[in-house]
Amino acid sequence: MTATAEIRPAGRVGRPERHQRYSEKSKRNRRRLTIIFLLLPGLLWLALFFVLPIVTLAMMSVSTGNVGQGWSVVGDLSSYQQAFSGYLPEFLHSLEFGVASTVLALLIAYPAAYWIAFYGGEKKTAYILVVLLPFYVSSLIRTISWQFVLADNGVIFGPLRRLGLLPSNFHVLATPVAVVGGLTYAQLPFMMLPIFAALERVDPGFLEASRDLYASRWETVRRIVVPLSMPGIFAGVLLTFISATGDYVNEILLGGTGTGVVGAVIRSQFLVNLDYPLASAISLVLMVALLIVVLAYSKALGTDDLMGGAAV
Amino acid sequence: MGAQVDVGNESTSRVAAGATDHDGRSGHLALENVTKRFSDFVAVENLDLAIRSGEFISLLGPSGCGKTTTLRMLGGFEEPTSGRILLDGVEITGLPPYRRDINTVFQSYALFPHLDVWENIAYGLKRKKIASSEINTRAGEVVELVGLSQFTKRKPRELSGGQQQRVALARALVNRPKVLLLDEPLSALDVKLRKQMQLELKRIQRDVGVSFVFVTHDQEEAMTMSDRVAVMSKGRLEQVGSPQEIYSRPETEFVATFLGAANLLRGTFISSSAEFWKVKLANSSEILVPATGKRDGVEVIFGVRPEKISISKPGERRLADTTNRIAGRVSQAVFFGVASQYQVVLTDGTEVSVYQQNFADGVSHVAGEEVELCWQADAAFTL
Ligand SMILES: Nc1ncnc2c1ncn2[C@@H]1O[C@H](COP(=O)(O)OP(=O)(O)O)[C@@H](O)[C@H]1O
Ligand SMILES: [Mg+2]
Repeated sequence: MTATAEIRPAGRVGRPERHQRYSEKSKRNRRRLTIIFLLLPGLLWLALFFVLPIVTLAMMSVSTGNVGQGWSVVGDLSSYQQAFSGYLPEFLHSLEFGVASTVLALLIAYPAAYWIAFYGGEKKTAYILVVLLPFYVSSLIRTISWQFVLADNGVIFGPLRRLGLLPSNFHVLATPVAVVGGLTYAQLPFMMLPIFAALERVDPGFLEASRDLYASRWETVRRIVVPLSMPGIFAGVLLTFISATGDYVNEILLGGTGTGVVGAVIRSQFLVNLDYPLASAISLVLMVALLIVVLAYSKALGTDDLMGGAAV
Repeated sequence: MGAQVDVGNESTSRVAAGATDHDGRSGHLALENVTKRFSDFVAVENLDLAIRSGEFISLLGPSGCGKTTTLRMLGGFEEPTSGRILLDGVEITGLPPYRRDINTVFQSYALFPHLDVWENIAYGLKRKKIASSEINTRAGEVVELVGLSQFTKRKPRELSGGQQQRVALARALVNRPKVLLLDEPLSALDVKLRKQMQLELKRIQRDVGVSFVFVTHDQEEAMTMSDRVAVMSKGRLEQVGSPQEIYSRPETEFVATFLGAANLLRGTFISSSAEFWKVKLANSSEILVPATGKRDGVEVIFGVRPEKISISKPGERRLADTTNRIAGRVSQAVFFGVASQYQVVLTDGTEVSVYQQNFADGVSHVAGEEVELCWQADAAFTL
């Protein structure tokens, strides 16, 4: 981007220098053009798939009208009022499920990624492929199969119940536990891959040095490995948290009464109630809420940690 | 950790003032018949080596000869396939690194990139749960010792190679190990800095009085720094001795040639006296060699280093009885400033290399000239 800065040679300019200056200038122009061309696809992409939808969404959220007669942007804020007053429980559920499944996914993915990165040897790639294997199946199918697994009379709880090992009021399906479980499962690879990538780059020599300096295995993990893999943890947590908080498939298929999430509300307002302004307003509120959480999170971690000590 | 005794002030002064007490000094390390196999590859074979308290010993050998593997077994990062390792008479063979009073300066330094210099240095003491006031004194001392006082708040990547090297050294020394292991610690530095660090390492080693086991593939480095050098080749120990011993009295052809240029010659045994054997060369000149080598039948292999031979015009010198003299013709004379190198072909076609200081401008003998080569009989070594 520094190419836009004009740096002109000061002082008197003789002929040979002038000649050189012209060629410098045309070179600079060409370079600037190159940069613009290189950025163009990305900028278009951003405009088309990010800016445009958000602007549309924002406009829709302050509109009135209906699907049949069309919408007019009137600056009506009642949708926002409705979003806050009517759907607070759903917002909270989404955040709770998002946080819970992110924490769980982190606790499961980190040790697994650690093991593969440091003890996987030549089979590392094979292990990663195995982790990803279930994810070649459509997420809908996977979630539905969890329905069968967790059902009161499904493959696990059915036999246990028949043997009288479970109280009659014991349920997993249609409870928050099932939703969080489904979300955790679905997010696992998105947590694991960036962590694995970060751990792979941690020099095993650091682990030996730490052991040489009287650290136990656990202390080495805590003081050396975790800080150095922070960029991976950060990326994994972001990916998982954002998509888990916005998810509704798991809630619809595995949740029950009283587990409503904001994603499901947005979906039904858009597709069932056709209340576009309300759906748009809730979407934007969710986005802003996520943004605030993410910013607070990255601020709390600090840049230095994020860079694994690679920043200034 | 068990044997790590920490006696506050007394050991503090050890780092500061240097240990001169030979009695009761610890840091005696013994390898007994140690072998390390990686599947069916033998990296280290039947190694027997005793490292004395407070000495600076180098493991010298070409790349791949098993130096690092040996060091890693001493540090506890590799288990010997067989054999024992003892520290001050106590077997430590199976102990993990943190249970040995041995610390390592790693080849790539392995400084923790997210910690600053001070935190890197204090890391070991903190893990040992040393009181923070003592951590401060001890870390302060080593920081002083290696000259890093102004850099304690810097991250490793903000330091030059030489400074990183000092941090690695300080981080190990602050734990007051009985033995310090160093794996080619200077190999990443440029030549000038390397020479400077060699002297400095030596000074620090004298100051702290800890036994240093120093791995290098550079014979000059090993000789300048060490009290003793252990030369290794293909996983085996070839010879151990002071730099002078291994240079002047190498016992194997490998040691002779690895430590510097050597003219290796063959002859037939004629007779022996107390000190020397009389040997006949292929060109039928008779010379004396030290009666120290092994002798299978009548063939004797001996060596003379190029700088021990003097070159002169025939008949120019008066010679003692114990001086060898053979005739030859200069085939090549190469001038390189402080000295010249002459290749001399003996009458039987053997080529001998000679270095001689340049007393005059340029070379003293030119190609084609008939010359006489002389050396003291005891300046040669018999293999
Ligand atoms: N973990 C290992 N697995 C297999 N072979 C190894 C391993 N470590 C070292 N080696 C082999 O052992 C030999 C000695 O290695 P090393 O001790 O590193 O040599 P040096 O430090 O003298 O260069 C080398 O041939 C090396 O390939
Ligand atoms: Mg090595």
